[in-house]
Amino acid sequence: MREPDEPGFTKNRSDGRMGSVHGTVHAAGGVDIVEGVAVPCGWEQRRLLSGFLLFGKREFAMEHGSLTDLTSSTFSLMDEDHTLANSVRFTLNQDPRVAFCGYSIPHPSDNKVNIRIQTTGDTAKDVLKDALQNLMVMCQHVRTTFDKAVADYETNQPSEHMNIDTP
Amino acid sequence: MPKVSALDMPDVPMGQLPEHLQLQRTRVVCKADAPIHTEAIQYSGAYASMGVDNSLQLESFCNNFKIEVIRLTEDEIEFDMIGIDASLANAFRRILIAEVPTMAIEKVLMVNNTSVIADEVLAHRLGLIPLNADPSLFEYLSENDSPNERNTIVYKLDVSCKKGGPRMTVKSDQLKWLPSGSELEMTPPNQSAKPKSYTSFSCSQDSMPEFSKKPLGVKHEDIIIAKLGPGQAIELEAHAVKGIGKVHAKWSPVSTAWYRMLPEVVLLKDIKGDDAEKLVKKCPVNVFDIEDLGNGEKKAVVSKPRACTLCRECIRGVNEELVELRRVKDHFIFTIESAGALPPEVLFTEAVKILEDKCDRVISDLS
Repeated sequence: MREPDEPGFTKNRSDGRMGSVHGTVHAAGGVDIVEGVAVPCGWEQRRLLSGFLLFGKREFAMEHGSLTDLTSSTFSLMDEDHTLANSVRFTLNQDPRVAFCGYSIPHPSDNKVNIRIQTTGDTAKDVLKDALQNLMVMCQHVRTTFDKAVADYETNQPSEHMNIDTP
Repeated sequence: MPKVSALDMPDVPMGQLPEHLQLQRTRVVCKADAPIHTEAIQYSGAYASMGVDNSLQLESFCNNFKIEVIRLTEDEIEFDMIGIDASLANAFRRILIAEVPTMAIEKVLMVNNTSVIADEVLAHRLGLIPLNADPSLFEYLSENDSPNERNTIVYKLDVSCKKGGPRMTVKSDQLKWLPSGSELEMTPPNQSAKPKSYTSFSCSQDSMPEFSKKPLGVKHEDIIIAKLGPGQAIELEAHAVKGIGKVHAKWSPVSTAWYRMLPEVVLLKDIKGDDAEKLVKKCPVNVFDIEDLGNGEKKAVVSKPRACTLCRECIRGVNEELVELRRVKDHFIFTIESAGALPPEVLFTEAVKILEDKCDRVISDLS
């Protein structure tokens, strides 16, 4: 059994409540820790998060419009395509905190996808992080299950040399 | 009359989906003209009004997800992947084709080519030859790197056809691995400078423990590279580097990787007598069979639904109300054909790992 605190289990989901009746709880309970400093939520935090635009611009950027309303953002991922965007759209859509999400590739020649997330109250960035975390947990489970299935097949399969049907 | 809410419908069961919605959610129905309900219902609140939670519970995913290996050979695997969304199955497939790295010949140094096959065509053919080298033991050769024993494999091809003799065929086994790097020398910038080779290996590759047991040859020794007429010759050196299929298909580690959804063939009504015989005959892959009911009665049954290729021959015309062809949306029959560099089961694990790495990269970019 996994503990609810383990990565991959979002706070909202581990309490076992249903998707449709969710209240929106701020993930950090009013105080957010950014780079080791506790700052009160609200304006301060917004200012710090807007700084994110700058240090993330190398590979990753949050588009405009996200600075005033943190619950809806568009994330621009460089060097990604349908492979990640479609999978993460699936895990996002399965999250009850997400009101809307979708992705687009603005131009086929650019290696870039835009992921739009609108939440029911949580920070879009946190929700995206959780969705990616969930996707990772799913992948890990797929990998262990696959390895087990291959090992099972190999033990149950009589090797060719032991085939008693061939004379 | 007392007021009754329009939403209060005692005949509609709460907390579970009615049968037709459940069918819509879990099956693609293939009608004679086009398939319907092809989309996946991903939104967590899609059935909120019925009190049904459509959100993903990781725990239930982990409990319900299953993989069954059907066939596993040296270069092919077929397995059933049950309980996963198409978006993930497709991500694995896309990564297998385009993003799992392999080694392939990238640079060809032509010394002599008097054969009928042009230099660039010959170089392209060489690029497509699968190499028997584990890509995880190599690094990518980036623009500013010099080719060394950690990122390059060098092969030599030196063949000639004797004058007056018969024509000859050049096959891939005539590519010889040069473990100590290039034997060709660059033209020095001035006469006093010492000539340098095209690679800068610090040691021979066959002295490295990972390659000493397994020489870095070609995977298949009988691939025809070129044909030489009497008096013609080819002399060249080929440099293989690590790359991914997204850049060029020669780096794709699979011949192909594909999946199909599990077919489900349903007989909506009993089909008896001559109609049953006709139905059995119609199917080219023998999905249906006859069951003897005794006293001369015959009934059609579905015996091999997995073989169904969706030709829809059985629902053409008269049978459309009798037979329904469906696909199970979360059951994938996945097949991977390896090109040879890595065994197919390793390829799949690598692909899943690559998707994990992608997630990890974005998470660290976000924080």
